[in-house]
Amino acid sequence: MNPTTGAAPDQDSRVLLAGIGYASMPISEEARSSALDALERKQTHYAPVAGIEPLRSAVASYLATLGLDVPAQRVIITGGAQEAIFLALQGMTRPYGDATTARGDREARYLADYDVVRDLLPVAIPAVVDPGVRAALDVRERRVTSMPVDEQASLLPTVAAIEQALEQGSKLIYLESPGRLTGSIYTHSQVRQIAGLLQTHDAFCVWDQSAAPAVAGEYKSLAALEPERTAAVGQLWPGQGLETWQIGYVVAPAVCLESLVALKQVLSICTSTPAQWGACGAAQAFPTEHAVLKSRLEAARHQMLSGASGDPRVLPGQSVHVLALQLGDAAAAAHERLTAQGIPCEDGTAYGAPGVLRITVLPEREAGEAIRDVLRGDAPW
Amino acid sequence: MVSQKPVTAGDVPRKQGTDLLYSLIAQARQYRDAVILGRGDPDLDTPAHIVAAANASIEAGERTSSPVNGLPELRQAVARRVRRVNNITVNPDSEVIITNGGQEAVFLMVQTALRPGDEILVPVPTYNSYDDAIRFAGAVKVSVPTFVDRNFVVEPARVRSAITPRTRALLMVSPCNPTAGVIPPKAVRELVEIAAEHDLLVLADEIYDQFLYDGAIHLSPASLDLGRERTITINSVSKTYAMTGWRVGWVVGPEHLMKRLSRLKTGVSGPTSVVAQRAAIAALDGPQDCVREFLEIYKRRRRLVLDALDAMGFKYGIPFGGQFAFADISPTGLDSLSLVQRVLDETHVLIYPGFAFGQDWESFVRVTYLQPDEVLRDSLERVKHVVLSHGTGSRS
Repeated sequence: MNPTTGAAPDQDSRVLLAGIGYASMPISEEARSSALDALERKQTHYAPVAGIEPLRSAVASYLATLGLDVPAQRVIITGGAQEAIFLALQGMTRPYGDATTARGDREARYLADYDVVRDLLPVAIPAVVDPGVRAALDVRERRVTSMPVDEQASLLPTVAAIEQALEQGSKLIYLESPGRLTGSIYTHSQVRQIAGLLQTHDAFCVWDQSAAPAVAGEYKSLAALEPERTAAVGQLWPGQGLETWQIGYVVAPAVCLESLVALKQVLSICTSTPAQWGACGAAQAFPTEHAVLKSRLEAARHQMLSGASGDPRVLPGQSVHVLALQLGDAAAAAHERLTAQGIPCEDGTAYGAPGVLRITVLPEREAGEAIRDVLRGDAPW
Repeated sequence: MVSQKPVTAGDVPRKQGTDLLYSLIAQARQYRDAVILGRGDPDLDTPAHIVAAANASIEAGERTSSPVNGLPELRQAVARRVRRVNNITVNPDSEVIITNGGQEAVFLMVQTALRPGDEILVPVPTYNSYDDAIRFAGAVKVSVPTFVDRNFVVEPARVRSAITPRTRALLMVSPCNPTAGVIPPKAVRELVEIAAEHDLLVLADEIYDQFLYDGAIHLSPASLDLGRERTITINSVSKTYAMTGWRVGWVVGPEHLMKRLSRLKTGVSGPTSVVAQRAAIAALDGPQDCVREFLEIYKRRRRLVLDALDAMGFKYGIPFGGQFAFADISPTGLDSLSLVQRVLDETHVLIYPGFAFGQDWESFVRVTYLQPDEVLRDSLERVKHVVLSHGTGSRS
C-alpha cells in the first residue's frame, strides 16, 4: 500500500449520523445548574471509566421505568448513543485485553478472537437500520449478515427473519425498537419470542432503545426479559436538549461487563465529566418534562396524520417522535418540498430504505397540510 | 492513615497493561489518604478562562450541533495551534478532526493506519493503550528497544533494522510516555527519512509537547517536507491545560488519511461534546500564561522526583519531557509489581509498575509529579523510607 496516495480502502467519509431524530426542548435548569455546580466543584478531572456513580444510578432508575431491573454497576456511560452502539457491537464480538483467559467457558466461546469472529460468527443486523450501525461495524473487518425486514409494515426484521439469522450461525444480532427510521416497535409477544430464540440459539443481542420514551402505549425491552443476553443501548436524555453533550449508555450483561468497560477505557478513558454531571441534573427533570413533550408530540403527530387515515403509504409506528412515509419515486421531491417548509425530514436511503421519508415530529410545527400535500401527490413540484 | 486494608498483593491477579493499572488504582482508592503518583491526571485546576467559556455555553443552553469532525471554530483553533507550536500547516476544513480526548485520537489514528497483519514499529516502552489499539486493529506490534542509559532515545538504526515487507507504520511518541524521553531533532529527521524511504506512515503522538526541560527541543515529523504527507499527528488539551476530564483531543494529517479517520470517528462515537469543545477553543485561543505557569511548576516538581530517585539509588533516563520519570529499580532486587505493591501497602502511595508497560520493564517504575509540592515531597519521602528500610536501594 502507498500511504501517500490514500491506499487505505475508503468509502464515503461524509456519512451523517441520523442521531435519534428526536424533537428537543431547551436544556432544563436542572441540567444547567448541575453542570455549572460541577465546574464550580472542579469536576474537571478523569471520571471513572464506566461513569460517575450518580449518573449510573439515575440511568438504572430510568431503566426501571422500562421494566429493566438492573443494578447501577451494570450501566456504562458513553460519549453518546453512537459510542454505546460501537462499544456493544465491538465489545461483545471480541474479547478485550488480556483478561480473556480469565473468563468462563461460555464467554470464551462467544467473545472469541479475531479470526473466529470474522470467519464464524457473523453479526446479524436489520436490512433497514440506522447508518451509524453499519459505520460502527465497518471500523473492523467482520462478517455481517442482513436480516430482511417486513417491508409492508414496520421495516423491522420479523421474528422469522431473526430466527433464520440465528439458525445460520449468528451469535450476535442487533435490533432497534423503536426503529430509528419508522418508530415501530416489537410487541410484547414478539419480544418474548425473540428472547426465546436467544436462549434456544445461545445468542446475544444489542438492543437499541434510544427512543423508547416516545412510545405511545406499552413498551417492552428485550433487556427486561433477557438481561444476561442483551446489551441495551440508548441516549440520555431524549428530548431534553442534551444531544450535543453526547451522553449515552450501555446496560451490559454480566458476562460482558468487564470487557465492555475495558474497551470503553481504550476508546476514550471516560465520558466528559462536566457533561455527565449535567446529565445527572437532567435526570431529575426528565420524567416531568418529557411527559409534557411527549403529549405535545402526540398531538402534533395526530395533526400530521389527520386526513391520512388508512393511507397505506403511512408506515405504522408506535413512537410519537417520528412519522415515516413510503413514497417510492416521489420521496426525493417530497423531501425537497418538506425541507423547504422547514419540516425536518430524511431520505431512508442511508438506512437501506430508498423511497421512505422519515419526518421528525416537532411539537410547535403544524405540518398536517404539508403532509397531506405529499400524500395527495398533486403538489406542484 | 486509615487502618482498613481489604486487598493485598496476594489478592491482585497477575493482570497486565491497562487492566493492571486500573486494578492498582482501585486498590489505592480504598485508602482515604492514598496518593497516586502514577496516573497522568494533573492535580492543577483547569484555568478559569477556560471554565468560563464552558459556563457561558451551559448558561446559554447552547444546542449547536457539531459535525462529526468537530466545530469549525475549534478546528480552526487547532490549525492555528499546530502552526504556532509545531510548525505544521493544515487545512482546518479537511485536515483536522476533533476527538474525545487524546485517547480516542490514539485509537482512531491506529485504526486509520493499520490493517490486520500490518506491522507497526513501536519504540518501547510506550503508552499501553497503543498495545490495545494495535490489537484491536488486528495488526502486529514490532518492538524497537530503547535504553535507560541512552535516555530512552529512539535510535534510527534500530528502527531501520526492524523493517520488513509487512511494515506499515512507525510510532513516534515524543515526549514519550512512560519514559519522558524526547527524540532529538536529528533523530526525528532520520526517522522520517527512513519512513519515506520505505513508504511508511508516521504516527506522531505529541501529547506532552508543551512540557520540555533542560533545553530539549521537540520537532514534529509533520513539519518536515518528507513527513507532511505521511504523518498523522495527535494531541489534546488534557495535559497542557489540566483538562483531562473534558475529553477533547485532535488529529491532524493529510486529507486522504483524515477522510478515512473521519469515517471511523463516525462509526466509533460521532461528534465530541460541544460544551467541551467550547472550553477547548478558549484553551487554544486564550491566554497561554497558564501553560508557562504549569511548566514552571512541573520543573520544580520534576527536580523533587529526580532528587528522590537519586537518593534511592535508582537510575533513570533523563526526563527531557512529560510529567513523569521512568526509573530502574534493579537495586531493590524486586520486580516492579512487588515494589509497587509494597510501597502501596505500607505508605498508600501508588507508583506505576514498569510491568504494566510490557514484560521487559519489570525492573522499572513510572513516577508522575502531578501532585502538590508538599504532597509530592512527603510521598516521595515515604517511598524512599520503604525502599531504604527494606535494605534496598543505596543512600547517596
